[in-house]
Amino acid sequence: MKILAVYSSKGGVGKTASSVNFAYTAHCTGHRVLLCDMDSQGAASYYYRIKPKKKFNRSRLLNGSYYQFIRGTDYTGLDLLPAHFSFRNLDIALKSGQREKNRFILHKLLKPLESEYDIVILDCPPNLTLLSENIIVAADCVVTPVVPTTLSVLALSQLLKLFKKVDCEKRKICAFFSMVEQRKTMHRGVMDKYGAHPIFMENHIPYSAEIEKMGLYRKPVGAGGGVDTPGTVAYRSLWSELYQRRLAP
Amino acid sequence: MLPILTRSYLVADPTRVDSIFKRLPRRHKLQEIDRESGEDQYYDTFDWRLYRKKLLFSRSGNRVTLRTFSGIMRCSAAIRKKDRLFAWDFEDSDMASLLKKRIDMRALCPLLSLRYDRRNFRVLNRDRKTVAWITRASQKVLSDSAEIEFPEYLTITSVRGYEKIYENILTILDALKLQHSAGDSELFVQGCIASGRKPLDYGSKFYVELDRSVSVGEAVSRICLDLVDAMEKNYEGVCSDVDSEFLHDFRIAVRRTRSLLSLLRKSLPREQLRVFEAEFKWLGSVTGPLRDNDVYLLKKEVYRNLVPHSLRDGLNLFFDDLAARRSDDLTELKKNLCSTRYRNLLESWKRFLSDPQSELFQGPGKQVCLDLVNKIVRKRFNRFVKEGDQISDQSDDGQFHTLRIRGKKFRYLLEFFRPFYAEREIKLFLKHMKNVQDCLGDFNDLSVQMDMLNDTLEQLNGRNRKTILLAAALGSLITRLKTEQQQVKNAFYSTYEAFRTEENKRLIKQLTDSCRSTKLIRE
Repeated sequence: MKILAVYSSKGGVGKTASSVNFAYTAHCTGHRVLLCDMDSQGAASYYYRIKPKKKFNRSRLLNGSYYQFIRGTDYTGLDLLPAHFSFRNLDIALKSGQREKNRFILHKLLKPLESEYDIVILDCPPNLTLLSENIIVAADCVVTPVVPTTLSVLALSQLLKLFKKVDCEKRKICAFFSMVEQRKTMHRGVMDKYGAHPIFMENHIPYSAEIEKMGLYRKPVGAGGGVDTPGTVAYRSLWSELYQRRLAP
Repeated sequence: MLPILTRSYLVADPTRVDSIFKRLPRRHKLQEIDRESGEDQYYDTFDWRLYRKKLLFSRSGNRVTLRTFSGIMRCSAAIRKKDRLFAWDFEDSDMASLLKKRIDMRALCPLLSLRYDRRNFRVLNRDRKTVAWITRASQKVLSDSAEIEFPEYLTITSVRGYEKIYENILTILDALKLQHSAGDSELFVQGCIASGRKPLDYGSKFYVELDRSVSVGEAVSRICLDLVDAMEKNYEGVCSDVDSEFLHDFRIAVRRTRSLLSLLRKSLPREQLRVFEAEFKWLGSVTGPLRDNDVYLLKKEVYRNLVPHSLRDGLNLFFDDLAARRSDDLTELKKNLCSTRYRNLLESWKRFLSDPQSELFQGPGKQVCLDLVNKIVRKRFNRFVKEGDQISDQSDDGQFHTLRIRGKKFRYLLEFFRPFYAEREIKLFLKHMKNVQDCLGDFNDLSVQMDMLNDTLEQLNGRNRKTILLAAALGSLITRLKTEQQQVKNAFYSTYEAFRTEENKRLIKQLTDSCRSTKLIRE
């Protein structure tokens, strides 16, 4: 089982859209996938039309009894652990014991899923807290969407700093350009400057109304069949590259 | 993943389906997503290795799928080959490793074709989220002679986390008194029957029902007729060269026949049996060369991994030669199996076993088998232990071989007359026996393999690059096998010690004492 965290300390860079589409694309290639919606806003759960069961909350997640709250999506082989409003305080709840040990809580929680899923995708909330440290420790790969703007690049450098702090291998990190608008000079400039860095994937996700409309149709791009759209092709190519470079056994 | 729940119902009257759908809970909507029709071909090994593990292997176009009886997909892969499929046809994939574990070297052969027409529906909640799946399917089995239509059926499948809705739908369908169906597995069984085979109609494990009052002649007749049946069932597969195990099972049936005749020799009509013994010996010898070849070829990957990378090309030359020789051996075997001699042997043997006037059922053949078998079991056990005790570091390979043959005969004896004895005890004893036999078998296999490799090495001529490469590879392999043989030898002593315990001696005594014909009469 490989754990992929889609993470950025900056909001609005396309983490949830990427998590939802990565999960769907991975499922289409025959993998058994679990998408964990760690963000209390519950956007990933919303996209998949899944509401958490009434008894589910942060404590159930942290005491390991989350298993019964995993729900199937509309696509066989792709399951989702929905977010709960109480997840907004996950950081506080994680700070229960020794700080060093606290970093491994999520890692231990996900361990029992090993025989059930090939890929676990974590849709992470935008912050730089103990939860972020847990995510970095638990994940086999941390992928961060970077909108080609200064602030987004700054968020990437903060992530690198966090990796150093928790003493994690930098090899785990990779990035891709998200919401790219080629007509914008700044986007082109940032991509030219940083795009060749090995941390960046070759493929990127263009800004697209189709991806924005996911909230309207409440399904991943390309779901439901039909003709391949630019969004579907972009996510498929990016996933394929990401899988080959970082996740393939 | 948690098991997905699924249940199928037969719908004898398809016109009822719409009214059934109308009864689904009102807050849920039913949406048809697609309709698919096509043809699925189902496969299994001759001895039903997948069916025994509750698995179904089917092909639709170039895609093959391995599913559980309950419809959970285990694996899927693309393949063009159609007639016989082996685990190694799938190269390094999940399908290859799963099949290797389940069917090993056996071939998956097409058993039946099902023409289907399926309509898939999803049950949606208020958020238009899928909370259950419903499939409405009609299927026909296509056999050589006819098309057999099955009643339409509905399959309800749960979505994880929404099991309550699934249960609600089942309650509604149960209330309509629809007949349950095992779904695809039931269709598979019925389809097989329509196509001329019945699941589990063949297995390599030996079992013939015998009651304790059976006479020697009757017991021999029943056991040998069962073994003839095994030979006949495997005959076609051997001649068509479907996979190596047809010949293996065929040879085991021959070997078992010869063992039984030898074990009960004193109570059987010697004159009449002499010819059959000679003929079965002939059958054993003509099937031997091809089997020996198969054993090596099946070990190809193991052997390749035993030698260094640089010598693997040399080993390939050895296997190429074996493969070429195999084809000649197969032609020779087919000639023998299609001969009048073989046909006459089986016909006259069956006549001898089933004719009530046969010498088999006269004289000593009339005596109760049980006491005789008890005596032979004790004698054979004691002989095995006596010879086993004499095995030491100084023993040569021949002594191990003799002990292996003794053990094999003894195990066959217990298997033939298993119904005479308490199941729990005999099972336990056979388990202990199997450990020793496995050890002896491994030792002997290594010994035979090394002899053969040495012979090949000695016959090599010339100094060209190919010959040198082959000689180096064979030399390396022989060295590795010798080391392995020593390890097996060391393991044998401890395995044997665990077998020849007082407890096992008591177990044999207890087994044979607990059932005697005098007791039977008193009972």
